[in-house]
This record gives sequence, C-alpha cells and structure tokens, in this order.
Amino acid sequence: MAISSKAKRSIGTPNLHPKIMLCMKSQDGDEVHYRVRRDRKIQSLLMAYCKEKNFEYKAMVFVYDGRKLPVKRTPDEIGMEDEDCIDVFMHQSGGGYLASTFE
Amino acid sequence: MRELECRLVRVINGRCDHIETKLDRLLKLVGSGVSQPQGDEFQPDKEENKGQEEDCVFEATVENSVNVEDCTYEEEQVTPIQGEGRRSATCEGMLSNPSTSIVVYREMPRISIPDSKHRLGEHEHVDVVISNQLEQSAESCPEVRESYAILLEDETDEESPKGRGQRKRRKGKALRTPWTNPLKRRKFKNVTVYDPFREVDPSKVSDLNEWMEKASPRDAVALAICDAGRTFFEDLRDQSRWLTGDHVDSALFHIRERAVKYANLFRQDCAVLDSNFWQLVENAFEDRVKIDYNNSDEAFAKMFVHYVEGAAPNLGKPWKICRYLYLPYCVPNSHWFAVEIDLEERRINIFDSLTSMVRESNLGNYMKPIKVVVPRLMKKYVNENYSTSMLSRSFPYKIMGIAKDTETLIKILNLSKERDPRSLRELAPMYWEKPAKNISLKCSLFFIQQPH
Repeated sequence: MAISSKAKRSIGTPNLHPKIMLCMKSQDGDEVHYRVRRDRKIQSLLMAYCKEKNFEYKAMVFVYDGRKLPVKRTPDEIGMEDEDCIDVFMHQSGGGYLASTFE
Repeated sequence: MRELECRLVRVINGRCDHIETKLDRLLKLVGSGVSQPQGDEFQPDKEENKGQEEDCVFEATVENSVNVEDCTYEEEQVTPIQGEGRRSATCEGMLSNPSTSIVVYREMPRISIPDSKHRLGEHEHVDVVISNQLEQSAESCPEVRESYAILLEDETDEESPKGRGQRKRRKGKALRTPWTNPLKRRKFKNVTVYDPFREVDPSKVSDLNEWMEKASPRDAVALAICDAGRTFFEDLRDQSRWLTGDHVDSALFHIRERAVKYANLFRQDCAVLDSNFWQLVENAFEDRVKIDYNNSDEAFAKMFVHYVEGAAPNLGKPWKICRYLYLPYCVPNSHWFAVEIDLEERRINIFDSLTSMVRESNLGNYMKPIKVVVPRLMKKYVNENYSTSMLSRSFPYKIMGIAKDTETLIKILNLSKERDPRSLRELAPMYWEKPAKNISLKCSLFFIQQPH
C-alpha cells in the first residue's frame, strides 16, 4: 500500500513533493515497502501499516537506526534515505504485582 | 626402609645443628645487649654508611627489650603470621621440632637511630617510620613476606645543605627496589572521576519541575534512545506505573555509554543488549522448525548480524571480544528481570528483584529460546567450533538493595539532574515495597559494571 498524492504532475514541472521508499520489517520476517512523501509526518505511514497488518498501533514500537522512531517528525527531519528500513517491535512494560495493585 | 631412615636421621640432625647455631647466636645477642647489624642482608647499608660517622644510622629490631637484628632461617621452618600494628609487625614462627618451643622473630621494622650512643632501651626518643603503603601491599600480596621500613636517614649527597632542619627523608628500600611497581597498586587512580551516587544538581531539578508544569502532552525531549514526553517522566515519578521498554533501553544505553567513556573503570568483555533483542530471539526460535540454522545457506535475520557485530544497539560491542551478554527480559505484561549469559561457561544467570513473580516451570519456558538461539548464533557468526547444544540455566538470584538502585537508575538516565532529591528519599522506602520496578538494573549496575 503506497501513500501517494492525488494530483498528477505534468512532465517538465519540478517535483515539489519528492518521495522515498521505506521498508517496514516486522519480527515475523515480513517486509512491506512504502513510498511516502518526505515532508509528511511518518506517523501516517505507521498507522497505515498497523491497519494493514492488523496490529494495534499503540502496542508497537518502531525502531530506526537503533533509535525509537519519533513519529511526529517527517522523513526529512529524521534524515531518512531511500530504501531505509524501519524495524517493528512489540511494546513491552512490566512492574510486578505490587505495582499492578496500585492501579 | 633403612635408606629412608638414614635420610630422615640425616635431615633431623642437620636441622638440629641449624637450630643450635641459631640459639647460640640469639643468646650471644641477648647477652651483649647492643644492637649491631650482623646479617648479610644489611651489609649494603653498612657499606653505604661507612666513613660517615656523624651521620651513621644503625638499624635494629626490637621486641620486648630483646634486640634481634637478623634472624634468617629456612622458609619451611617458619609459619609467618601477619603482625598487628607497628611493633607487632614481626612474624612469629614455630620451629619444626615441636619439643623446642622457641619463638623466632623473623621480621622487624628497622629503627633509625640518629646517634650511635643511643641504646635500645631509650627507644622513646626514636622515630619509627613505616610506610602505610607497605602495610597495605603486604596485606594485598600474601607472597610478599618481608616487611621493609622507610629509613629515616640524612641525605648523603654532599651538595645538599646540611644542618638542622635540612634533613631529608629518603625512600624506603621497598620503594627503591626495581622489583616494586608502585603504579601497579594505583590502578584505579582516577576512580573518583565517576561517582554514580553523585549529588543532584538543584538547578536542573528546578528546570525539570518547571518543564513538567508547563509542558503539554505533545511536548517531548530528545533522549539518546527515544523522544521522551511528559508521560515518560511521569511514569518514572509515579510509583503505581510500570517501566516500559523505553525506560529500560535508555538506562542500558547509558550503561554502555558509561563503559565506553570510562573504559579503564568498567569491564570491557561484556555486551549489554536491549529489550528488542529478546523479541528477535523468540521469533527465530519459532522459525527454527522452518529454517535449519545449522545449514550454512540459511541465515538469521539481518538484525541479528547487527547485534553480533556490535552495530546494534547503539554503542554495542562485537560478541567475539565478549564473554558475557547482558539483556533485560520482560515477562509479558508482568515483570522485568536481567539475564546474564556466560558464553564461556555456557550458562545463563538470572537476576531477579522479585523471584516470587515468576514460577520456576514458566521460567524454563521463557528461557528456552535464548538457550537454543544464542549457541547457534555463536557458531554461525563468531566461532565455528562453538557447540550448538542448549545452554544451562541457574536458579534466579535474588537482588537486594533496591532503593539505591532506583536512585542510580534515574541518575544513569540523566534524569538525576532533573529530579528532586527530596522526593527520591521519600520514594526510596516505597521501592523496597515495590522492587520489581527496578528490573535488571541492580544487575546492570552492580554486576555488569563492577570495576574489574
């Protein structure tokens, strides 16, 4: 599933919205490729991916280059390049039974 | 048998003769009442002082008004006992013959006597100088049996000024000998550069408090591993909330950073992994039915290779130079604990603050993926001869001392500077009640990064 702008660009006009190809790699070995705009928040891509894979968005952790992906930023701001991969992990939390009794 | 008897008799006779000569020598010394350097050991000192009558320094040993200068005897006859204090720095020993209960004073601090007319009975005027370093070194090195004292001698150099107040102390024999390396014992000279329990900077505490008051839920601070919003800090502050992978990974990142920054202080033969590694392991374990990892054509996921080569997580270390792997494990939606993998001994150690949280039978199931996958990873990417049989596992080690850990955790997270120390003290008892929140950090802080 690719996110693309609906407006078609005529030949010869400069590309105002350049795109990059990103790879979403989940831990079950599945890889999905997307083309996204560089100036759009990456969150929209992640939400679309979770919807497609039937994951709960809040239960996932997206790691890019060893760092948790800042979802409110654009690929340009993050410094992503073409064919970069985003690893998808499950969110983990723990605290013991005593902590759970406080809730 | 006869030969043996003859040999024994010869040995016993020889030793008895030796003891007799010693006794004669002792009695001679006691009878004379004057301490004079007689031993071969002190000959160089005598030669040094020869011709300098004014400055001549006599060395003597004192024990209960009996003056023994030099009692050298065979090592096997003596059981050295460490002395207590300056006077009792002598080593007592029992002779091999039990019938002769003679105490021999083997080692004594040397005493410098500024005037040769001084008698040992007047030792209240005598300065005894024993270096503390030597006492420490004797404790740390059991092989070193001889104790040396720093001599208090006048400067023998002719060019140096003489007279009252010009006297200089010279280094002791132990410090002058080429076989002593004083630097060796000062390995952790710069240990003070890092203090995990350092005080919190109050200005940064107020900064954080201000930020927490003003920040909207969308605001975030860029940390090394992730962007931390308000909830990140609130989770840390609020005792009823659990730690997430972000907290743990941030702490572990700073542990790795610390090991890089203070390479002399923290051990370098261990790789500290992050919380995501376990998910990779579990997936690889599930895929083992489909994929034969022993087959050279089949490969693990690329992410595994990054971990083994040290490219992941950030500031990671290649496994080929490591003996230990440390990683956190989260029982799904329940509890964090630390796992240590000893690659040489092929053993998994578990450090748990709340051992009652996890049943032993369940623990076996949780650990099975790592037992299977890590040896295969080692064989494929590190050492071809590494056995792929399953690793063994210990019973969980109970971790204590939680309150301090919590403090250190927060400091490692670099939140220490932003956190109110008063609130920490108030919270500390609560952490005792709710230790699971500290997960593997005890392990990380006090086991992983112990100075080597």
